[in-house]
Amino acid sequence: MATTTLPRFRSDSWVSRFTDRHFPAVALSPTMLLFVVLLCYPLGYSLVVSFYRWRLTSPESVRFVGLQNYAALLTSAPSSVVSVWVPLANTMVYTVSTVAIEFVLGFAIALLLQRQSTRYPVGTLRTFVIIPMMISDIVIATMWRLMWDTYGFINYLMNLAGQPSRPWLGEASTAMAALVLTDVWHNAPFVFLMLTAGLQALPTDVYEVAEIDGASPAQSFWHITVPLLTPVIVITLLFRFIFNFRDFTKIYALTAGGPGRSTEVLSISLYQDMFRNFDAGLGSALAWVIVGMTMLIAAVFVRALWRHTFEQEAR
Amino acid sequence: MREGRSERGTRREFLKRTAAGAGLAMGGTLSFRSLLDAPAVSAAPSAAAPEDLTRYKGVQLMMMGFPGTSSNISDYAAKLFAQQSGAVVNTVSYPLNEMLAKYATSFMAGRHEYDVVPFTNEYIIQFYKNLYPLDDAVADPAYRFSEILPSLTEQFRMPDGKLYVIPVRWGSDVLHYRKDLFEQYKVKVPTTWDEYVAAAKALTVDTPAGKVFGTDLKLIKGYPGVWYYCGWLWSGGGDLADDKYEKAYLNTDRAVAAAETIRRLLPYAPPGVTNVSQDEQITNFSQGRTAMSISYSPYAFLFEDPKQSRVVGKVGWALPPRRLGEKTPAGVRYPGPRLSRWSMASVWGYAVTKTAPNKEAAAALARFVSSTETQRRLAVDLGIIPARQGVFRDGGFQQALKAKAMSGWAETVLAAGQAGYGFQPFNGHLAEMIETIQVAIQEACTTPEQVKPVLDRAQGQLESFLKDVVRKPA
Amino acid sequence: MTTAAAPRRRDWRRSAVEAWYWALVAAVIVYFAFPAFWMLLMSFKTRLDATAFPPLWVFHPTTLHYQGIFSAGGMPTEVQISEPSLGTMLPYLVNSVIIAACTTGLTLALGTPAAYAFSGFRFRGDRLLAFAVLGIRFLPPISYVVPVYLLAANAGLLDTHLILILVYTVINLPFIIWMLIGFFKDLPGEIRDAARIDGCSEWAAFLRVLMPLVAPGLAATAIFAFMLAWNDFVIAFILTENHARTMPVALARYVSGEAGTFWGDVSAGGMVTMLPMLLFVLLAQRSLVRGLVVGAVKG
Repeated sequence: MATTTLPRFRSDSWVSRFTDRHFPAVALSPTMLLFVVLLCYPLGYSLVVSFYRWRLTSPESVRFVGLQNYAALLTSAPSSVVSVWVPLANTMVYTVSTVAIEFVLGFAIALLLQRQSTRYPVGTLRTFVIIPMMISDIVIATMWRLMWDTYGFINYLMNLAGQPSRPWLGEASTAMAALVLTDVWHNAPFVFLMLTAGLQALPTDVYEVAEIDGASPAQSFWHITVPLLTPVIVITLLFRFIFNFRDFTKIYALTAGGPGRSTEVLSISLYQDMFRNFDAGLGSALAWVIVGMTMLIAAVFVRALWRHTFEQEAR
Repeated sequence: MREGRSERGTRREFLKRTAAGAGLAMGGTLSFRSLLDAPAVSAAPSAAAPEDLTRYKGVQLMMMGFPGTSSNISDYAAKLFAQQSGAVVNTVSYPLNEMLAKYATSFMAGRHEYDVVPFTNEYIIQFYKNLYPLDDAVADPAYRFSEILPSLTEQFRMPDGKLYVIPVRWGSDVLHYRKDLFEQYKVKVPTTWDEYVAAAKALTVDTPAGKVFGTDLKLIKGYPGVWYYCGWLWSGGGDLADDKYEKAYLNTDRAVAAAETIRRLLPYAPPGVTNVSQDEQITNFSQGRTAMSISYSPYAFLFEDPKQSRVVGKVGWALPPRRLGEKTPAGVRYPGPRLSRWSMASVWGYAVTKTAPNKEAAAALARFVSSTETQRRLAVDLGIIPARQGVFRDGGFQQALKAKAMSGWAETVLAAGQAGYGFQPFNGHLAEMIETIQVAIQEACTTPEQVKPVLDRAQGQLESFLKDVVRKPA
Repeated sequence: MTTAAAPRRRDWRRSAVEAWYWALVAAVIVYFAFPAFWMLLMSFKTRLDATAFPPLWVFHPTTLHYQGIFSAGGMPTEVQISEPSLGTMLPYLVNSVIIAACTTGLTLALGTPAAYAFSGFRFRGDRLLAFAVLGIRFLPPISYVVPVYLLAANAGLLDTHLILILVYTVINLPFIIWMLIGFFKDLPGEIRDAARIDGCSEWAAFLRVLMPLVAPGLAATAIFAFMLAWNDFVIAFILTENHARTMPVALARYVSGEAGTFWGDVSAGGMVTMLPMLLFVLLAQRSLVRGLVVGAVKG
């Protein structure tokens, strides 16, 4: 580690000294500035609006109503407002199912394609796996709508296997399953990518030792691989959870929340409030309910991750 | 025109009165032939001389196109306008959902990027306060505004009595059916509900080309699904609410009967009806998978296009069936013996936003699209159903129809249009009501639960929305 | 290597396992890539063929949809009357490229120092701030976009490339920062100390010494940042009209029209939108995975 090869710089100008002492602040300030303008303002705006009754169709009747919008969402007090509980249940079912399935699938495929070899182009194979991530949401939604159609490709496969066609998106019992499967296809590659990287960075010496000690592949997987991969796993789960909790485009294009309310998730309720009922106050309140819930659950992940990432330094 | 009215009556009163005033027969369908033979509406020596538009030279206008297929109406009209006036017109098009989202966002922000925007009778009630009244823009007698079907313009006259949208084109639901299959299975065109169910049953057959279903059902969430149900509801003499939009009728016998008829049709329609939108209706019919389809009349052009349809030359058109045909008892609102308004009609037109910088030019563009000459060209070149009656008489339009072997189509369409109707409570809760109704219809028609209890529940919710009805004097 | 028979049995079993392995890999590839392949087929089918059932594997291909995307002057794609004549999509493609590239650049320019600050320094409120950074992703785009629209409208930035770049950067930063934190943590602390001892200012140490060491990680984050800006729909749709419109928004026109979806055009547009990304990833694939390797794990 020859230090003489490093470039020499003078650090005696006052600018240099200032940035040295306050490096974090200087490094973070452009980011924070951008956030204040393009994040805090929108967040603040929507929070303030959520305390008003503001319906676009009667702009003259805007008035302050405090927590009334929130109360309406939670209790469905005026029967004209649909409460948040059914969409919340749907959203949780959707999010938990998709995250769980795509995590397992992505992990399995990452393990499958882990072999490094010069004989075959594993890089290209990996690229094929992440194709779903490269297609725009709206195109994916349209394509899959056609695939799940009564006269679509999935039913074609069913027919080939001797099964009758089913109206996947038109029946409450199968609509959610169809949505989950579509999202798994779309996002398992994300998990795959993250975990592939994780797996590749694992130190081989630990495995050698384990093998000498007589550990089976399953044992070394559970007791070595998984603990070492925990940070990657947590980040992956965190981000997939956040994305899927808010997912809108695919669900709206495929079922628009139907049949009935069986696939109505929170983001569709929000869309309905803002762009159909044109109720900005209620919509903003719902947005903040979503924010609150996501924050709560994310905090759990982040706490685990932070502890792992940073408290490790103490050692 | 409006001075005889002291207090703002209900919208339906308007429809009745102006329909009578325009000389259209009440309580019956108008034959297309009589429109053809009737003398010219005005005896003006020259056909409406096109307005001199050069005073708008150099003006910049932003125009939003009709969503989806008809965006070329806006492109076409914008090009014509730009040619004749020297103004610069930019058009941008979006699908319907996105267009509404844009409206909502920009009106919330209190500004709009567009000068001229399209509206349909479904949404105008929610947005008219952000628009600029156009009564003055169409006041010029040379424009002959009265030639535009009054039943259409009335849809755009708002509680304050002002006109906000100039109709450009319209369409109503007609019954598209497969002439060849009807002949083959010796089924006659249904005019009553029972006949329709029987026809659907008879035509659900296996053919060499694949299984054919007798009918399709469009019950997707949102406006299109509700309008489909309303077509059945109204043609049975029922309604969603009364004249004054104070009382909901969602759980009356007639509403239940309409839902139950749809239920009876379920075995004869392709499965998955709760996810069928216009898209699936078009696809299924043009691929030959359904034998009957109550759908939007302009689709006829699509079905007769060999590049988009497998059933070219096999398509017939008829009025949608009524509960007892001609003898259907009148709805809760009409005292007369015969049902006069019962089919689903939708109208599209152009409006001017309140924030347009040059309102005069924008209004000129809006009315240009509905001027006699432009309407004629749109109908002949692009195949729309024009808002101006006179265009139906136009030789070019008739030639274009004949060339597509679509004789009889215009007659049917016009007849359906005369009976056209809409649901427009003058309160801001239209979307929630639509949502409530459609969820109920989906449940009533497709779940094992009985129809009546489902509709009873929805009825309660609907009533709480109707309490918000705006009743303002003009 | 005992008797002559044993090696043959072992080879046979091994090649059976190999075969199963490859079958599985093939199944996975087909599962993920097939819909894109289907989309490719559909981009060459007429509208009638696209919705046929059973689906057509053999059909008359047509290039009308691609022509419709690239030709100027608004040539109608299939039909005179009922289909929109939309004209060339090239300007929108260019917009997408510009916006995505600038977003990536800005995200890296802002995110890398920020990540370094979080990873290399302890300061008051660092945990809270890091969590707050994450907070942007909690707000649904729909409700985020309306106040941003207001802001942009007042600043005269509607329908400009700049506003999209800024908004996408803000949205990308959380993920990028968190990923890069991992990369930086992976570097041994001695490098920075050595640079400081040598007389470098913090900035110089960062720019000249540490950043090049996380270059693979930067490639990885670049791809994710690019992907988000390239594929986003909601925000681009609300904030643009014609001038700064991106490909996903342009494609929306073909979908959910009154006369149904134009499958050929959607598919052709989808392919055109996908290909630049595919190429980008193919090229960067190596450094992508290696970059993720270096960073995300050890952190």
